[in-house]
Formats: sequence, structure tokens, C-alpha cells
Amino acid sequence: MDKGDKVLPELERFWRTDDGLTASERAEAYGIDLSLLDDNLLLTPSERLAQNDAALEFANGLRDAIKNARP
Amino acid sequence: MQGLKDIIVRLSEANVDAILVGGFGVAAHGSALLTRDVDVVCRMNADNLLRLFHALENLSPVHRMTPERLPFTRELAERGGLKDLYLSTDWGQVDCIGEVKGVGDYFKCLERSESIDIDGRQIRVLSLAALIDAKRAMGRPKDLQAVLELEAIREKLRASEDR
Repeated sequence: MDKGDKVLPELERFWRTDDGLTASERAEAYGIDLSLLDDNLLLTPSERLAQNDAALEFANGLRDAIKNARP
Repeated sequence: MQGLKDIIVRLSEANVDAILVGGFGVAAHGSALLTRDVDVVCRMNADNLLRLFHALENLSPVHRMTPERLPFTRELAERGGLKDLYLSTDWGQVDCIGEVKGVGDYFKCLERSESIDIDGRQIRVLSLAALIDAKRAMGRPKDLQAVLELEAIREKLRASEDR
């Protein structure tokens, strides 16, 4: 594990599964928006991957636009 | 514009023995995490690497971990026996690895994979349980969110099956 990959002490508890929480409760406590997972589960795997590609293309376009806008 | 999904389809069309793992595999199972590359576990023998080479050869594949960004050549593929290949192509990054931590080599991964339909082609992807094992074995901070999302997804799927 790289130096930058060290698990922060405050996050260690999220790796555990003996905390009495359900997986959804643990994910929510970490800050994950479960509604995004619910939305994705309504899609086919192919649609999920297409969604990733579209988001990536948008993010790349945004990055390029910001770069070009800088003096 | 062609994207990472098209790379997976291209590998399948070329009959490359490859199983989708990593972030794109996690996304295929329903995670909301965005990933910038395709990770596949591959058979790293010469025959399969040649099929991989032919699948990618007109996408300008280069070794992105080398400072000179040397091209992925037919000669290298023919030699076989590579451990991992980290490529950059015109359609995106492709990482071909010989082994997945926490699961094992291509054949171990094959035992723990399932088939999904991508644009009409049957693509092997590491199962939800195996991806959780892999991400737990990696244990990096960036794997934690994937683990939490995948475990929540597994719980949701089980609940919907029980209904």
C-alpha cells in the first residue's frame, strides 16, 4: 500500500461489518446517496456503462473548457 | 464519440479472453462511481495477447506507464507471458491485468464471473461478491466507497428477490 493509500482512522469503521448496521445504513452513514444506486438498478448493465461514458465525456469537456478559459 | 464501453465490445468481437473487473465492472453492477479506465483480467499467453493486439491496433495503443509512451507492438504480444499491460488508446485507457488481488488469475476470476449483455454481446464480468472480495483485498481508501456501494446493492438485490 502506498503512503497515500493509508486508511484514515476515522474511516476504518466503515470497513467493518460487525457494527450492527445493514449495508445500506453503513453506506448512507458514509455519505452515499442510495437513490443513485436505486436509479442505476433500474438500468441494464449496458445502460449503466453508457451512463459512465457520457459522464466521463461531460467531465472531460468541462475540464477542457476550464483550461481554455484560463488566461 | 467512442468510449470505454466500445472498448469492451471490441475485445469481445476479437474473442479476447478477458473479464471485466475494477471500476467499470463495479459500474456494470450499478455503482454510481465514475471510472476513467477499463480494467480487465486477461489470459496473458501469446495467443490471447495477439487477439488483444488486433482488437486495439488501430486505436493507437501505447504503454501509458512508460515516459516515452512506447507503442504496444505485435512483437511484444507474440512474446506472451506479460504480467500486466497498462495501455492508453484513442478510445480511453485499458488495463489488462493477469491477476486480481483477493480473487486470483483469469481462470479463478472466470469461475466467479457472470455474463452480461452489452450491445448484444455476452461479456464476462466479475460477480458482485467477487468484486467485493477484490475491493476489500485492495483495501485502499478509493476502494472503500466501491465496497460500501456494492454491499448496499447486494442487499437491495437480495431484498427484491425475497419479495
